[in-house]
Amino acid sequence: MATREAGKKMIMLKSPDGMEFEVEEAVAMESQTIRKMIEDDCADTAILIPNINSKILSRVIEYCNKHVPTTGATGAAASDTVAPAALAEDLKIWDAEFIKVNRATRFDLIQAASYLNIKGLLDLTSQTTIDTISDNSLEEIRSFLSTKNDYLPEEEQTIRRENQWAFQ
Amino acid sequence: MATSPTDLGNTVALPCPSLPDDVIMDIFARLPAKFVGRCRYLSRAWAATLSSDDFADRHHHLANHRHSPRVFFLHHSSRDGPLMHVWSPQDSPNGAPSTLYVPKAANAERALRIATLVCRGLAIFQTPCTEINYLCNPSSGQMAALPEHEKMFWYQDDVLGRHYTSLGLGYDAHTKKHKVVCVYYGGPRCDSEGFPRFAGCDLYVVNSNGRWRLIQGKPPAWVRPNMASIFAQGQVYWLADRKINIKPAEMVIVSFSLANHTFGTLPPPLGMDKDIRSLPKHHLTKLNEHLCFVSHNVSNSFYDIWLLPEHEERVWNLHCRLDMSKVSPDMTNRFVKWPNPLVTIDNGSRILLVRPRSLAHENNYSRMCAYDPMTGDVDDMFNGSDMVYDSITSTTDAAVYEESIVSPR
Repeated sequence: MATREAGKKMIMLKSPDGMEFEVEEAVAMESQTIRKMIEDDCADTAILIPNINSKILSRVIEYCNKHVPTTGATGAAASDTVAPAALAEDLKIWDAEFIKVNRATRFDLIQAASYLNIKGLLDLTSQTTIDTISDNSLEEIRSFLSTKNDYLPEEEQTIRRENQWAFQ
Repeated sequence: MATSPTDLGNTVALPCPSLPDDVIMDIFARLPAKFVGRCRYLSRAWAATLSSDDFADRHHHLANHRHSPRVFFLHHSSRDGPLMHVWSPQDSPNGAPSTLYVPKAANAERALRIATLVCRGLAIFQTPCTEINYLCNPSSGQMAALPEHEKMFWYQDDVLGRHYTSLGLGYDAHTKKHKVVCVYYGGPRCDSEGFPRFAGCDLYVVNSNGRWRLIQGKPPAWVRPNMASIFAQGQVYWLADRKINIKPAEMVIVSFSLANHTFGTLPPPLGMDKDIRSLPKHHLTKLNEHLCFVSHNVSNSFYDIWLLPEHEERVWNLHCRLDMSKVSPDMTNRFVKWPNPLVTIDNGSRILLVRPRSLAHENNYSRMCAYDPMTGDVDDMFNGSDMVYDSITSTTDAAVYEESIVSPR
């Protein structure tokens, strides 16, 4: 858990299962949803994050902590400057480790990233999902989506013909 | 929380109904166009979702934004005809490009060239021998011939007159439709003032079962034959000459608004309109969604890249200036071919330049380099000793690649 540092504004995030997380405002503002609440002055002392349990919320905070733009000696955000290649590479390796979770957790992370509007986390979780489905057969993707093939055989042929380019 | 087996390997996906459709759509919007096409086969509901305008917008945004810019070009193999190749500085630095597929089109097995840059997923391809024009989606490989146009003239400039046609391809963001513009000049050369006399413009709306239809108004200048038109920010642009046969010559840029269907003109940067000696040494292209004017200033060995930030403002910004004396002579050998900027990479800090191979000179290869305007450093990305790159012989032979599910039909 984050500790209070001099000069840094802290924000309290609460999960519906009653856990509280104290994080730096800059870290919390990696979420565009929270950023908007803070900027609109809707956030008082604590923000309740509905639908995201403490286990997932702690992982989301872990991600934001790692990805928050580093602050320079002057305290100014350095997000405008290009991160050195080494730093980017380090983040990539960290991301790859971070996303080694089971599917239920990854889907929870996607939903959390979507709700909290954290672009980088949404990209990471979605791309990982794509990597796991894009080699699958249509039947496997149907089962992934819990959907059934409801085409009549002749319709199926028409669709095949119209979308032949996709199978070449 | 429900537990499920890990799927870190290639384990079969289990049903997981927990993600809302909206989130799933965003996941599918990151997939390559061909994969999305296959997914239309999943079920009726998914076919409808994945064919919607809303999904097309999401896909265009998400499937392209995570990649570093990609470049495609057609390589003509004597055995297979034209092959589509895609290359990116991130995925294949200094490496071979990946072959995508063989574009299929009637009578197009032998010769096919890229006539316009990719505009929101579509480009115009041409067979130079038969002058058949195709709309092509380079990411899906779909091609469809444009309907025949009665005024599709061969270039001809003789006693009978000055006949030619130039095509432009643009995207109308209001109607979410691609439109093809055909400007044509046919008949006696010009009036006594040097302006075009018999000129006109037809329009074809893609995906609307339509035909060519006449547009009121005509091009206000002579667009340069055999120079590609450029689409940027709602306008199609052509480099043009105000008058012919009348001195002094005046270079202008003709614009056509996709929303209003009206023509306009725009001055080139900084008095270059009067610079007739260097007329052939300029061309238009697109750099990062903006109209880009490239000028090759022979006298002081500078190569300038200008951008038009806003159409309405009509003011050009000098984006960068390449000092030829600092760049390897091979790259900037003006007696061979000039480089063309394609796209910026590395967060805008470097520009990808391609220099086509000259057919008139032996022992020169097409070249691609990344140029850093701050330091003047030039990095070779590839040199065309590899056969595949040999096919880059004009500035439009290599273009920026986009994933898109838009149909050219």
